[in-house]
Amino acid sequence: MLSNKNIIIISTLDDINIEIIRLLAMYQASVYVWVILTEKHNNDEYNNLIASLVDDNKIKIISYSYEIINTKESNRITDLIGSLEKDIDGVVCLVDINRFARFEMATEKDLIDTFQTNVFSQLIFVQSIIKLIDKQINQKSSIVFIVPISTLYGDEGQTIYCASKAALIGAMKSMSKELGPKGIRVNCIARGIIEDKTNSKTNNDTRDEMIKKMDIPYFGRTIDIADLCMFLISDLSLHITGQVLRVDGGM
Amino acid sequence: MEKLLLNKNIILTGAAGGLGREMIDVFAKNGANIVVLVRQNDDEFLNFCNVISEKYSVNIWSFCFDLTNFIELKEVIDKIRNLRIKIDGLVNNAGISYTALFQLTSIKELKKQFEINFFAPYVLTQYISKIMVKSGGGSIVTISSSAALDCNGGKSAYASSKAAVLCMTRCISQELAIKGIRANVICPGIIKTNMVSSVPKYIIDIQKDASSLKQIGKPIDIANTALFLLSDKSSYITGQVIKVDGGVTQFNKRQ
Repeated sequence: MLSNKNIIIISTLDDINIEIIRLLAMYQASVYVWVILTEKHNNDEYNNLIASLVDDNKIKIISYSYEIINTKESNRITDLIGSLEKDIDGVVCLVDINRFARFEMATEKDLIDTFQTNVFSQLIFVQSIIKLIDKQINQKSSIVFIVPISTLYGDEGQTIYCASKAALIGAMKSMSKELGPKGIRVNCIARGIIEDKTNSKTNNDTRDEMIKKMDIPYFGRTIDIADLCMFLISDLSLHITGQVLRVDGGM
Repeated sequence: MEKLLLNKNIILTGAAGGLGREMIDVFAKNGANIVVLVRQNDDEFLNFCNVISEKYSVNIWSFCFDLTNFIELKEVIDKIRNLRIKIDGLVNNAGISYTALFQLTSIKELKKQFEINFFAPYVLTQYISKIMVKSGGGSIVTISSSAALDCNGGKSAYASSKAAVLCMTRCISQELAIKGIRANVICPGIIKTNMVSSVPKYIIDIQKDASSLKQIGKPIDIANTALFLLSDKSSYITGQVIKVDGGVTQFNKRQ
C-alpha cells in the first residue's frame, strides 16, 4: 500500500514504536527514523533493538537526539534529512515519554521534561521537515501524530502526560488549516490499550476490568495502530485532515 | 497491489448514485463480490455492473426494489439468504438530501427524509446483522453526513435524519461488538456527485474555502475510507465517526 513512499519517523524506541516502524516497512515503504534517546536507553538491550531494526533494509536510522530538540538541532535535522534527497510522503511522530505521578506530587521538572520531549521536540522536528516538504515539487504529504486515548478522557496519575498529548491535538488541528492549502494533511491517532510488555504483566483482575470497558473484548495489537497509520499516509485518505481517529476497540 | 477485500461479500445500498458507483469500482478492484441494492434498475447501470464484474472477475448481484417498502425488503433479504454466501460487510449508502427552512418544512418531506435516511438503513441493518452473526461477524459502514455534526441552517430535516442514523450505528457498535461485528460512520463533507449538482455554486465555493485542503471531495475519497473500514486493516476500530471533509471546521458557526 505504501510502495515507493518515503516516511520519516521521529521516535523514542519503546516496544510499541519499534513494532510500528517494522510494520510500516512491511508495507513496502522506505522508513527513515530519527531516534530520540531518553534516560532509560543507555543499555545493551537498547543497542540490540537498534541493531535489529537496521537489519531490515527498508529501515534506516538517520541520527539521534538526546531528549531535547532545540533550534540548533533543527538545522541539523533539515540538513541531514535534506541530504537523503528523497521526497517525503509521510511523517509519523512517535515520541512518547510518560512519568506517572499524581498531580499534587508531580514536580516542576516532570512538567517541563514531559512537555519538552512530547511537545516541543516533536513540533520543532515537524517544523524542520515542513521546510523540506516546501521545497518539493510534489507537496502532497501526510503527518500523523499518535496520542493515547487517555488524552481524550483523562486518567489518574497522568495529568501532565495527558496535558502534553492534548497540546499535540491542538497543534494538529491548527496545522491542518495552515498546511491544508499546500496539500499536506495532518491527523492524529488516538490509540486504546495495546498489548505490550507492561500490559501483559498486569494481573488478570485488572485486565478483566479494562476489557469490560471495551466493545471489542481484547487489548489492541500494534498492527491495529500501524494499519491506521498506513491508511492515513496512503492515498486512501486524501480528503481526510484535521481529524482525531480512534483505534480503541470502542472504549 | 494488495487486495484488501479479497473473497469478501459486501452489500451496498444506493449503488446507482455517484458515490455508489465509485464504491462498486473500488470494492471490486479490491477483490470483493458485491450485492447491490438499487431503486431503479436501468440498462445503463446493469451494463456498468457487468463491465466491472468482468473487468475484475468478481460477482455482482443486483436487486432492484424500494428500500422503504419493507415487504419487498423482506423478500430481497430471503433472496440474499438463498445466495448462500457469507456476508462480510454492509454499506448503508442510500440517502436523499433536502434543504428547506425549518418553518417551511412540510411533515410529508420530513417523513420522507426519515424513511429513506433512517428507517430503511435501520431495518436493513437489523436483517443483515442477523446474517452476519451466523457467519461469524463483519463490518457495517454507515454513510451519514457532516451536516449531522455541523447542524447547518436549512438542513433541519436532512441533518436530523443523518444524525439519527449516525447515532444508531454507534449504538449497535456496542451491542454487536461481542458478536464480531464492527460498525462505523463516515461523515462526508460536500462531495462532487449528482446529489450536490443542485447546490448553488456560491455555497460550494464557501465550503471549499472553509476546508483546510481548499477542495471539495471526490467520490473516491469516501469509497477509499469505506474500503479501509470494511477491510481487516481496521479490525480494532468500532463505534467511530470519521469525517471525510478536507478539514472543515467552522468555529464562527455554532457546531
